[in-house]
Order: sequence, then structure tokens, then C-alpha cells
Amino acid sequence: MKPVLLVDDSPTILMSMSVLLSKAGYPNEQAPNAEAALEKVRGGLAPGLVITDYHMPGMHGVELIQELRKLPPTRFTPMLVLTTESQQDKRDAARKAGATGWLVKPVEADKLLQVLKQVLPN
Amino acid sequence: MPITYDGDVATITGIATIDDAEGLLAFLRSAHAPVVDVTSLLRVHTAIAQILRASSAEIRGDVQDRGLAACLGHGQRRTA
Amino acid sequence: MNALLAQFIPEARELIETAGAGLLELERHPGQMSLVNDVFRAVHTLKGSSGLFDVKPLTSLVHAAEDLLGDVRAEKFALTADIVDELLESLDVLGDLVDTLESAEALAPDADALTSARIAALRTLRELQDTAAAAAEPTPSAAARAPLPAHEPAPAWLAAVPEVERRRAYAEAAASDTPLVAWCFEPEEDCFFRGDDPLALAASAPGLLALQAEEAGPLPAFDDLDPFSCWLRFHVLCQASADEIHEHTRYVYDRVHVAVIGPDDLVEPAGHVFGGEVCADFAETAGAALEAGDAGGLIAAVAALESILAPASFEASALRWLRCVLDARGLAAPALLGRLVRAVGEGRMPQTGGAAESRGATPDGVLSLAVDLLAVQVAILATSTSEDISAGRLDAVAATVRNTLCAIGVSDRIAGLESALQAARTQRHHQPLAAFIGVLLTDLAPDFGAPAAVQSPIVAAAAAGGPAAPAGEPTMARADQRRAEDHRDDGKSGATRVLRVDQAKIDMLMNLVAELVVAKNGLPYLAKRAEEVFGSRQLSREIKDQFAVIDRIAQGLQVGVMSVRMMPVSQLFQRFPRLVRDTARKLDKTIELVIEGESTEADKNVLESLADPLIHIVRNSVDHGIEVPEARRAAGKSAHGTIRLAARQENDNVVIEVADDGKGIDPEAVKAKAVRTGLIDAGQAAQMSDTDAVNLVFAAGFSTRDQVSDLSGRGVGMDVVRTAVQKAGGEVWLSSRPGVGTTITLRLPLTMAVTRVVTVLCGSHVFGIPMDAVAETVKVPRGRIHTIKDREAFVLRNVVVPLVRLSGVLDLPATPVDEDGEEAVMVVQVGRRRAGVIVDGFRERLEVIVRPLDGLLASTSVFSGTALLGDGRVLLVLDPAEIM
Repeated sequence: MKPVLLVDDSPTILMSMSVLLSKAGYPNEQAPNAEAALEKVRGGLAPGLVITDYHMPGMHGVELIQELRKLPPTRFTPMLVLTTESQQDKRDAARKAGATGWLVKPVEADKLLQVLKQVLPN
Repeated sequence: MPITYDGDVATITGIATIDDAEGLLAFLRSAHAPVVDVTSLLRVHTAIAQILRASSAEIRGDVQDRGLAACLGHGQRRTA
Repeated sequence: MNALLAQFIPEARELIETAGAGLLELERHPGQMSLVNDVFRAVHTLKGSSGLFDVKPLTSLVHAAEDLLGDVRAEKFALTADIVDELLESLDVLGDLVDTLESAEALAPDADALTSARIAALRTLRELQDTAAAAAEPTPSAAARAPLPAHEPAPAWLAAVPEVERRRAYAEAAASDTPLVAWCFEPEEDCFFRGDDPLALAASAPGLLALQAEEAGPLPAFDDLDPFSCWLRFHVLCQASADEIHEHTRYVYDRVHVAVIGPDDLVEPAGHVFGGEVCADFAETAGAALEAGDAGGLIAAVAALESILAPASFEASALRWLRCVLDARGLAAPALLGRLVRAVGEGRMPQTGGAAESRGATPDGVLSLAVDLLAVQVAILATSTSEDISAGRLDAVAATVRNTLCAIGVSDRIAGLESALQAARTQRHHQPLAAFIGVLLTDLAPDFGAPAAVQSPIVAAAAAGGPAAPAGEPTMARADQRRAEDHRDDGKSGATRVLRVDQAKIDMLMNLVAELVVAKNGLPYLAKRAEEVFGSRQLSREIKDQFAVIDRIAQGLQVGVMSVRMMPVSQLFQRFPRLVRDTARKLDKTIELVIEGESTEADKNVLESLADPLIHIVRNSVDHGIEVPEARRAAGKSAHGTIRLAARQENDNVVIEVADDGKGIDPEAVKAKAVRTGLIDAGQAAQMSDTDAVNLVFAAGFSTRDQVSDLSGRGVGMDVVRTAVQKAGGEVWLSSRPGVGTTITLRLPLTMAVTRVVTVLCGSHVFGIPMDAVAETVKVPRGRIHTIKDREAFVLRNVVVPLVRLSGVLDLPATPVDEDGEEAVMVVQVGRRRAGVIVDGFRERLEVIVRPLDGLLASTSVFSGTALLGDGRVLLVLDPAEIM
């Protein structure tokens, strides 16, 4: 199974998502920012799903998604943005830029797993 | 690899993703009388399903994936 | 005017424009929620900002429109063509009010009267729709089990879901009382690049009962398919609530339309009608048993008949449904059971009282299949074939039509069919039969151009004679170029900042730049004088250096200011969807307008000069080009016509095409008319090519219709169009194939550019000739000029070049040249034509801005325009083509 790539500048959030996913049987990799995430993919990582925070130092989440869409391994990979944004047009903009969907922060465990099942059906 | 090719027969095993679409399309375009074996197929991405639907290839085996079955038209396609 | 109002006016105009465009787009793609939201938001914003001013009637009208749109948004009812009409009219009134507000800074005194009429109309529409929606819900009965209410007209594709799946779905739904939804999902073409797997989304829907896939539009050939583009759309039946489906599809909410349905909507028997006494008998027996409440008797009758009928027959299907309903609900649905019993007897499913109204124009599954079948018969008749086959084909087609008529219960037309068949046989031609079927089609499906059921990918029409399809049948046609352009433009403009600038300021800048360009060109002349008259070579050199610097800057400035005046042709095109829609509706034609290349840019003035000609051309297409649906059908074309409005850049020009697939122009008819009106003589007509013939329509005094149709304007012909286009420096021509269509092409310069001219002397006058027409300049000795039948010519490198004296053309006194002198000849070339123009001398080359002539001189065609020189003189610029 292809791993999930988690991108977030908060080590706490990164860790808790990682543990959650591992327990549910989803192998995963972590990156603390967009540049690190891109490095991983350029270095050979082919994730089955990318979950990225929006606000990060350097490139923000949607920019990361746009960059990932240019790399062959992640052209068609489902990608979700973690966001506090409740406005539909901000979400629409994320989609236009290439995001598959979004998750509202703080993410609840069962919501995360439910979306995973939907977007990464196994 | 989810899709293997042997002469005019392509066999889909397990889950076929969009990354397999180009290869399948190339196969369907070049094979003389293409056959696609779906007996061990679990699920396919939309890109694969729509290509199979548009092609005139013979589909061998029972379609287990509900989505693919809908695309192939519920038995309107020829089965071996 | 106070600054706040000055800000409101253009904003109001933009909002009205957005709402109008959104409504037109929505009419073509009903059910697309993001469009409804866009229109609603525009109106909502307008309501808010207008509230700041003392414009109560305006605000009330906007409010009424907002209420109506709010209901559409809440899916209380569907957006019909009547509602769109009313809203567009209201937007027009609002536009007028804003205009008055701008000029008078207050609303007109009669504004209140104007708006109350519109407000009342909007309100009535709302109430009508509300009552219709209420009537569709049957009152709960006191029987053991309340029938599940039907919320909206069921989508037409439902009938195409296999019966066995529908029956299973019915059983489940009736048993557990959970809601049923039928939803349609059309993913974006490029959705794969967002990580979407739409098939997986559809197949994983909660409570999935049935799933169907179909192509969202016509496919290219297999070898041309792009594997990374999604070309499917899906119909899904789920046992779930609308909320659950909305939640499931929240990431693609704008590509999904959800319709809540009732189990009864699934009940649709289908198959070929068997007919026969035994079915009529059953209807009697079963009907009686039903009335008597005799479940056992009813079940027995069903079983008995089912065992002897062919399973593929319509009656057998109805019997299976009877069994299904009886199993699920016993006798608790007597109305439904009664309709099914009658269906067996009559060979068609009777409608319920309320359902017929709420279904409105939606044909039930059988009717739409019949319509498709009849259309195919017409196409079959139209294909050419040999004599011996055609006779048999007449019979075969007639038999099919006969059976179809029986199947849909329209047997009273069979007598007409028989006589049409007889006439066709006698005439040995399919025409009478084809015509009969054509009339039948229009009677059966008056809005045939409108979206139909699953099988045929019929493109949604821009306008229809009847109401648009109800909300239950979304027709998201393939994302056409226009939408793709919109999305691309959105991406761009979202990031750039925009300034509002007064047009007059830009015009002033343009004039200054033009003058600068011309003025700077006086410097080389000054440099020459410095050297020759004042003997200062050093100064001359310095002037030339400085001139080079100024020249470079001026060129940059010129390009920059020109580009400010460049606007996308979408400015020009945006009025056409409405124009085509309204005109087509008035004429009962169905026409789709396809727009391409909207983002192509051209100079504002050029675009403005094109507005009227284009309107005339498009109106012509709608009025005279595209035929009525019946005529199109009879000619084997699709009922809806297509007009393509396309713009593109070609070198220094912008090319605009208006192409229709209408009846074309008959070159013979044009020639005949031209001969009749004395434009050409019979000899010329005989020798004229078809292409040249159809372009005769541009000749002055020609018009292809004898009566003045009020829709095409005051009877002005294409000659006015050509004049306007030529005045803007362009050209227009036409190509057509009778029966296939007509294409009108306009080519215009991208900008009013600077022209390089050569100045020449004629007597004591100086004139300019555009340099790109000048091939070369030569001095020809008098002796080498030959005179043939009072035309002069000379030989240039073995080719004979005709000569023309400029003094003769301009009616100026000729300067005599002695026998062994030389004539100054400027060889000009326009297209393939070449000629030598004899002038009295060559002068300097200049860069000028040529302005087209108006006023008295405009009628003299020998000049193309005037130019203002650096020293204030006016230079007349010659048109080389006219001199030749």
C-alpha cells in the first residue's frame, strides 16, 4: 500500500496524525514543511495520499499541492488541505489549484479515518 | 504490476490505478483483437473503466467491480 | 455627483451584467448550483449596496428578484425559461434605472410604476411555482400506510435503469421507509488532476441501489482519446437522504445534482406492446378484483397472464411491477395498482392527475424512446439507396412507425400514416412519409430540442419553444470552449489588480502618443538642415544620436499605450448569448451559440466599429440562416442549429468568424437577383464562380430578402456591413454551401497602427502611399514606355507592368516630360495586382498615423485616409488598390 504523506509545521499534530494512521494500518511519512515534502517526492517517495496543513513557513499548503501536481509521482495523487477556512470560495480556490478536498482543523480521529476510506479505498 | 500483457491478452489483477491507463490504452490501440481478462480484478480507477468502455476489446470473466460493471453496461458487452 | 454614487454606478452595472450572463449560462446547464449561487450573490450584493442610496423602487425590485432566486437556490422549484425571461427583463429595467441614476443623479419619477409591475410579475411567478410544488405532494391518506410523497419530477434517466434493479430498489425503499435519491454527477474533464476518482465516489455512495455511466458528450475517435481527461457522467440511485449524498459529494458539490424521489418514480414498465384480447380481459378481471379488495384474486390473475406472455413485452413488465408492489405493500397503494392494471390493458402507463402537471414537459421513458425511434426513421429514409431497396424500406419504416404509435397509444394517427405511405409509394419517393413523421415528431415532442433521455447524447439547446427541462433532469453539456475560457480567465484576473479608467483619458493619451511619434520624425530633417544649411556636422550628429534615443522611447510608449486600448473580444461577444436566445425564441427556433477565442484582444475602436456589423450578421444567421426545427429534421439535420462565433489573432490582424449550419446561400439565386437588379449582366453571371457569386450580397443595393424583417433591422443590407468594416481598415467576405451552412469572416487590423508611407510629388502637391504596397521605385526613360490602346505600360525584368498616371487619377495637371527624359515610376503591388504609378518625384519616407476619412472625402475611394504631419500639414494618403 502506498504511504500517506503528512505535511504540517506543528510537530505535535504531525506526530498525532502519524500515530493515528499507523494504528489504523496506514503506513505514512512526515514532513515539517513544503520544501521537505517536495524533497521526499523528488527523492523517490510515491505517496498514495497527501495531507497538508495550509499555513506553513515558506510555501503554503495549496502552493505545495500545485508544485506536487507538476511531479510525475504525484500528478494524480489525492491531496487534502487542513484548514480552518469555512468559506466556500476559499475551498473552491483550493480545488481549482488542484486539491482533492479539505479537512477542517482540528481534525477528529473518526473524521480523518472516514475521509481516508473514501479517498483511498482499499 | 496490476496489468500484465501477453500477446493480445491483457490481465488486470487486483487494483488498477490511473498510472496504468496509458499502458492499457497503448495496448488496446496496437493489439489486433485485444482481450482483457478481468477475472482477478478487484477495482479500477475511472480512467481505466472509461477506456475499457470506449474500446471494442473482448472482456473475459465476470466483472466484480461495481463501478466497472456500470461502465461496461450491465452485460451489454460481450463476455467470453 | 458624490463619490459614493460614482462608485456605485459601475459596480451596479457589473453586478447586473454578471447576473444576466449567469442566468443565460444557467439556462443551458440547469441544476449547476455554483451558477445559481453566482447569480444569487450578484443580486444579493446589489440589494445591499443600493440600500445606501435613496432609490427605494430599485432596491425593492432587486429584493423581489433575490427572493425568487433564493427559492430556486433552495431547490423549491426549477428555473424554467419563463422565470429566466422575467428575471432578464427585470435586469433590463434595473439597467435602465441605473442609467437614469447616472445622468440625473436620481431615479425617474415613474420609476415606482415601472418597478411595481415587474415586482408583481416576479411575485406571481413565485406563487405559481409554490402552488405547483405543493400540488405535486399528495395529501396523506387515512389508509394503513401513507404513501411516500414525491418531491420533484423524477429524472428521465431513471427509466433507463434496468427494471430488475429498480424493482429491487422499490422493494427496499417501500419496506424501510428510508428516503430515495436519484443524483446526477458530471465530473470536470480535468478532475483526475485533482486526485479525483469519480467512479469510485459514485460506486461508494451510501445506500447505493443502482449506478449508470454514460458519455458526457460525443467522443473523439478511439485513437484520439486522452486517457487523463474524464469523459463520463454518472446517474446514481441511492437509498439515503439528500443530506447524506451532499455530504458524500461535498468536494464536488458543484458537479452534482440531487433529486429526492419517491419509490413510485421507479415504477415504469417498458417493452414492446403485445396488445391482444387477453390483456384487455385481464384489465377487467384484475380491475374488479382490485376494487373489491380481493388481493388473492388479483395475484392469481397476474400469475396467470404472466405465464403466457413474452417476458420482454410491455404487459409482462407491468405485471412484474404489479407483483413487486403487491409484495411490498399489499393493497395499500390502490392508485398505483390501478394504473398498473390499466397499463396492461392499454399498452401504456396512465399518468396520475397531479403527476402529469408536475412532470410538465418531461416525456416519460417510453415517449422519449419513441421520439428517438421516429427520428431515426427519418434519418433512414434520408439515406440514399437503390430503387429496389427503397420500396421495401418504405414498408419497413412505416411498420416501425405503426408499432411505435401503438406503443405510445397514439393509434389515431395511423390512418394518416397509411395515406402518407400510399403517397410515397405512388410518387416513388420517401418525401411524403418523411414529412408525415416530421409533423408527428413536432406534435409529440414540441420541445424536442430540449434534453432527452439516456440513449441519445442530444446537446442542450440555447432556447426552446417550451419550458426548459425541470430540475430533475440536469443537462450539464460537455464543458465547451467558452467555459474553459472563462475558467482560464478567472485564474488570471484573480491575481491582477485592476484600475478603472475614464475612456477619455486614454483617448487623450493615444492622441499625444500619435503626435509624439510624428513629431519626433521631424528631428532627422532638422539634423540635415544643421549640416546643410548651418554647416554644423557635429550638431547634426548629436541630433541624430538624440533622435535614436527618443525614437526608442517613443516606440515603447506607443506599444504600451496601444496595449491599454486592447480589449478582449469578449466585450464584443457578451451581448450575443442574450441576442441569440431572445431572437431564436421569438422565431421558435432552437439555436446553440458557441463562442471561441473570447480572450483574443483587439483595439477598442476596432471592436466598437464591429459591434453593429456583427449584430447584423448574427441576426441574419438566426433569422434567415438557421431553419426551423421541422425543416432541419426533414433535411436530416439535428433539430437545433449551431452558430459559432470565433475570434483569433492572425499576424497583425484579428479574424472573427460567424459560422452557422443553416440552409446556406444559393449562388444561383444571388446571381439571378443581381442580374434582375442590374448589378451584373447575364454574361458576367454565367462566368462567375460560386464563391464570387455569394459575395455579391455585399454589393450596394443588394439584399437577399425582399421583405424587411423587423428582426434584422431596417432592411439594411450587407453592403452597410462591408462599408463599416472597411472603414475600420478591414475586410469581410463570405463562403457558403447550400444546405450545409454559411461562414462570414471579418478581418481587421489589430490596432490603428502607425503606417510607413512614401511621399510623392504630383504637380505641387504631396501625397503619401503606404510603404507595404510599394514594391520598388524606378526611373523609366520615356522611350521605354509603350502605349497600347491608350494604356501605357513598360517592361520590368521581362514582365509587362501597366502604368497609371497619378495626375490623371487625381485630375491634376500633368507635368510634361521631354522625349528623352525619365518618368518617376513607383511600382505598387496589392495582392497579385501590380502597376506602375507615374509621379512627378519621390520625397521622404515618413511614419504617420493614418486616420480614416469621414465627411465629404469619404466617398472618394482613391484616398484611404489622412495623416497629420509634424509641421501641422495634413497629408492625404492614397489607397493603392483604388489607384490601379
